[in-house]
Amino acid sequence: MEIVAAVLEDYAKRGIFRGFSRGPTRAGKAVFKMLWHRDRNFELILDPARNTLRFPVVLPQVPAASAMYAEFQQFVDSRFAADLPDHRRIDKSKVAIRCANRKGDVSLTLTVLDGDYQYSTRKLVNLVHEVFLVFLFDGRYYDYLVETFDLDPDRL
Amino acid sequence: MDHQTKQDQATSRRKFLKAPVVAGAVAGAVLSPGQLFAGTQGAIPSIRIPKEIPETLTEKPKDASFSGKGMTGAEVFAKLCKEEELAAMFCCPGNYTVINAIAAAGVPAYGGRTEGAMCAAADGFSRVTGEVTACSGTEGPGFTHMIMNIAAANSARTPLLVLASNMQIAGDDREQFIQIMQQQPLTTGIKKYGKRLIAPNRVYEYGTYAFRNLKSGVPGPVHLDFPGEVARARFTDASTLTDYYTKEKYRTGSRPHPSSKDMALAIEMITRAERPIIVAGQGVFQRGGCDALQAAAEKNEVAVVTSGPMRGHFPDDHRLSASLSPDALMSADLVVFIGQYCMPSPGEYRFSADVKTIRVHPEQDDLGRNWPLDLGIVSDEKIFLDQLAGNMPAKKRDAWVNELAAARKKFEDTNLDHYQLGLKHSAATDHLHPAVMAKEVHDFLYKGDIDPKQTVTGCGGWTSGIFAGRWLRANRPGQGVACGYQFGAIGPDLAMMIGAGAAVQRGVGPQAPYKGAPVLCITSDAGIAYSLFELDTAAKYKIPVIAVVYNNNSWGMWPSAVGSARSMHMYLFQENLRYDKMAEGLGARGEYVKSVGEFREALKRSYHAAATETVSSLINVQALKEFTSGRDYAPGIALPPEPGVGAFAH
Repeated sequence: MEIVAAVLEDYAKRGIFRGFSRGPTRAGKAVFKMLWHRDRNFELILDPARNTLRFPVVLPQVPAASAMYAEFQQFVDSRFAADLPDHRRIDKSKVAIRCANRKGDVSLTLTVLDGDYQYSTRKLVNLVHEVFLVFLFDGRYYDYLVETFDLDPDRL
Repeated sequence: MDHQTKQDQATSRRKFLKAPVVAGAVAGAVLSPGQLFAGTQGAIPSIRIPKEIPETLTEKPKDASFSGKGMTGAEVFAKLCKEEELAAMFCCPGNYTVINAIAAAGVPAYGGRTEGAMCAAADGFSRVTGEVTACSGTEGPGFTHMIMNIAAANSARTPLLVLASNMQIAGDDREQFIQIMQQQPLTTGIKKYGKRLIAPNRVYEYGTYAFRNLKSGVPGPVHLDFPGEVARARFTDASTLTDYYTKEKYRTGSRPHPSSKDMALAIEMITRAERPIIVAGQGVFQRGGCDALQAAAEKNEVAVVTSGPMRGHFPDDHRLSASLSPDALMSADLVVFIGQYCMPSPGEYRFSADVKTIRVHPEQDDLGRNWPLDLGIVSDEKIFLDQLAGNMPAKKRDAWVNELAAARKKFEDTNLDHYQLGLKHSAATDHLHPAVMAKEVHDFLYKGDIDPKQTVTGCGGWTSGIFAGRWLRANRPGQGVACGYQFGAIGPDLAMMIGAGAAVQRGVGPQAPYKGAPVLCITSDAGIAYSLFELDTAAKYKIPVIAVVYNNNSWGMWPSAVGSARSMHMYLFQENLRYDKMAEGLGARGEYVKSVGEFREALKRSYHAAATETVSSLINVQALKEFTSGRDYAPGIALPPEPGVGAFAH
């Protein structure tokens, strides 16, 4: 738990998160809150018993049956691809990542396979970072950005 | 002449223009607007340039002196501008004493149609040359018209001298006559330095304040107001002017050097990194560090991406350029910001959450702003880069170079996919898709008979700017203008490019090898409303500009009104407006296109007219607003990755 907290605090110190706090641990789960992309509040839940790190809401308002959600899942899968350079690839021998969609809220759950929480936390944070800086920059999601995040030239 | 006759004649004219092109004889299609109108308008007089324009442009400069009637305050200031090599002044009449004195002193001067556009033109001239330029307007209305573009210049850190008259001190607080206002407070936050001159004998002294600020440290707009008592004061003896001494005494070329400890640490961090990248901004250009940048990057195989006014100073086609490799940005493990005055925050640039950061800046108090540092270095940009090039060990980074190349290919392939989609949409709707417009301009400028380094381009507008940004290239210094850089103003684009065109016409600085070449601007129907009348200015000064106007009948952000009651009408224009016809009325050529074939031919004719007759053209590219929507017309708006080509935020 302290390893995950230290990694996240380091990101906060380095300005990746604009705001950051660590909530109380309940039922063995730690909740971390951060102000991050598009000035939104994110929650990261660490469950050491299950060896998981979970962002319950990475993207809101994405219908489960939509093309966008299917493409999101493909994007996540592509981060494990063999043709990615080593420094960009997520090592599937170290972590597994699962997408879920509950009433349009898209979540990401990372399962730590080898106990390396530092690696896992960094990969999960960078994955969400890429969702906002790469995946959503595709023109197909322009309407989504306008409708969901009030995107306009005043608020890129 | 009845309406039908006029229409027939217009049609005939278009046929006449098109016919030789079909036959492959583009040259035969070009006539000056004056010639065209002369033969078709009967009793209606032709558009023509009055003889006083060429006559007064070729008059010799007049030296002002203290002898005889002496010098006015305006002449004292103008003499200083000339000695400081002010590169150009763009204005609308008003502030008469000052602009006349500056023109008479021999500073290249241009008079246009609106103060705001002239301010943008001055900014454009500076962005493609690095020179200090000036804009001027009359007090009150003229000055306030400039505000948007003063702010744009401030965001780009352009060394822009903003001049305005300011009625008379004697009338202060009395609302005497018209145009009274306090002007200095209006530029608060969008200038580096400003002063309303109130003591006539300090006119030279405050001129030196202005040029010290314009030519030292981090540049930015300097705003001076000239009340009548100052501009019209008379001086017959230098002793009556305060601080009347030469520039060697009132400013210095001395610059901050990095400490040897900082330099060693920076070299160690760069050398140790596997995938380092330099973000080079306006400071590298302004301080003359471009050659050192290239030397340093090549020696250690460090990737480089440029921002804003640095476009082209590290060529897009260089193997170490990451400007077309957005997918590689996330791989960088060290970013070195040099001369990046307009700092992004993490998350605004497409860098990894784990990237380490060095920032080099000439002033200590800006280091650490927005982007947390691993190493901050106070240094002049050129000096830092000279030392980097000299002291950094040579290193090969084959894997990194290959990754940059692969990412570039991926970016270009994506653009081609967008083009193919755009072709389908264009064929299906009989309107031109913006991806097609942008790609066709690219092929025309860089893949045909024209020297691909010749044409200076700029783009703006929302939909048009975003698509054009992906395809316009800057492969030599001063070749690309990111018109919307940081301020995101919709509209100054064409005026900015006319200013850039004036610099090319004169062959100033990096434009010298391409002196006289046309410039090209891609803008939108929303944007052109702010600058269209400056086609008159381009015609008047024979500055050859090609304006490609993406006409989608709306403001680009029309999707913001979808689902909002009683709102959409605010976002839409009349459909099928004819900006080409408006251009013809201003003495430029007009072209109207809806298909790829028509657009290609229009580009050929327009470029030929610009290159051989110094005649400007406006190409009205008729489109549909619905192309903005990725849901209806993929690819939709793919926001530009920052930093890199098309980036306009930082």
